[in-house]
Amino acid sequence: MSFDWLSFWEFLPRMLQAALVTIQVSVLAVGFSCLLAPPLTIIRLIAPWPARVVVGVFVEIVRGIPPLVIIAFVYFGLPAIGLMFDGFWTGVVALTIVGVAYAVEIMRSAIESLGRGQREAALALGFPVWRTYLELLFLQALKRTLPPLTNELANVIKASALLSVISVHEITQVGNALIFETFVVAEIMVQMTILYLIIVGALSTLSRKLESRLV
Amino acid sequence: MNETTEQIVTEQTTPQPLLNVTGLSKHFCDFTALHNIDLSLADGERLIICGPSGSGKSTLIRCINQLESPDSGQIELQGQLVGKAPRDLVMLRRRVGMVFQQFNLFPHLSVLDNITAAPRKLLNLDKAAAEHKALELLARVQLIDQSAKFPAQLSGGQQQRVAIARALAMDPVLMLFDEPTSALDPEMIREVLDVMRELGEQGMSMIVVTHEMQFARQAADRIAFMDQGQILAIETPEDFFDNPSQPRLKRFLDNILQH
Repeated sequence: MSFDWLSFWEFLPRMLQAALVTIQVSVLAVGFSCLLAPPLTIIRLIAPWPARVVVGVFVEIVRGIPPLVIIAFVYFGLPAIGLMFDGFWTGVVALTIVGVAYAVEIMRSAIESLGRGQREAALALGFPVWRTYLELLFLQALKRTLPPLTNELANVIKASALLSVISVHEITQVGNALIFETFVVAEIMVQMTILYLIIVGALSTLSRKLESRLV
Repeated sequence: MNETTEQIVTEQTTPQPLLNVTGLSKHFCDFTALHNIDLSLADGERLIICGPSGSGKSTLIRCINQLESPDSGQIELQGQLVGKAPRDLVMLRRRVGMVFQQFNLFPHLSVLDNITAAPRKLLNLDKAAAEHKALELLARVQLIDQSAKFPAQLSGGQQQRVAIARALAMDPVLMLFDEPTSALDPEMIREVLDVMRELGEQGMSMIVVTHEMQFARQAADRIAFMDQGQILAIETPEDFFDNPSQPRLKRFLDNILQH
């Protein structure tokens, strides 16, 4: 059995379309995660205790269950309380939940790894607690968070493959469907692999650029 | 007429203390770190606190600027009672500078930015004015040529002097030093103590927790001895060293002055 370039080119447009869906879900989920994580991290660290506990419990629960369960929860569970999402937006919401939970944990540990000395020095100078965190600790910790955060967001992108179970036409779903329709396996598998590598690679490159800028 | 004269006279004879601490207590779980401490400090006074480890020295000065919140007791600074509200704490800390054992400089900021950060962000001083003042302070701690460096590029003694300048940049009325030389190489202790001595001579009110007895003898107006969360004695340096009143203090001095 040799590699069939004809089928490779034949199916590429459909796979590229699927990649576009994966990219859209990923960009939205990663974007929302990055937007929501900093304020939630600050809440997790210094808000009055009820808010702190709520965020803490949220993070622990999400980290403790598989992303597939969260997708199922958003898709089948949330309609019970009147929140109905189609497949695409289920993906965005579920992956944002996953991304945010891990990102909050990463940012929290980065800030706490700075040690209490700097925090006390800032407080002793008369910085209010929230400005200590926002203006002195958070920015400093951000650089430390980038490598682990990129890792985790790459996992979020890869978890978008799970959206195939609710028939979102992303790379894995379309690839699998094509394989079952046509029994062209290797060519489509290669396409799926390359597409994921390009998308995750783009995230890593972006993060490295950002990291060198933050120096 | 008579009454007012009387009033003036009493005011003159008992000037208001800069700092007045009454009934301060602090527990950590079962451990009593501070037990019913009363302390007052006159304006311009240099008080040195010594005592064995675990006696509550650091806890006391950390309670004064509320880095630890006391379980009970009152703190008055310049006649104003310090409340528990976040705003009160912030205003208190802006008037009280603190220098830590481990320097605690901001590692991502240059020496100059370490010093200007608080005045610029908290007092809204503009960049030029803040930097002008920072350079003056750096000259005072003999580090004028190090302003562009980062903390990691400095020796411990230099870092501690930057930390002193950083605290002074807020124009504090009182400086607290929490074992400022305990983390330093022996060679660098002197440069830090010299800066502190000079600061005291220029009239800065300060409370210093230290084990440097030579410094205490030379630079203190009064020396307090703490043990088990209590101030057992507060004396002038002469009485403290040469004529100690308390047996526990005598033992302490015997132990530390023997070698």
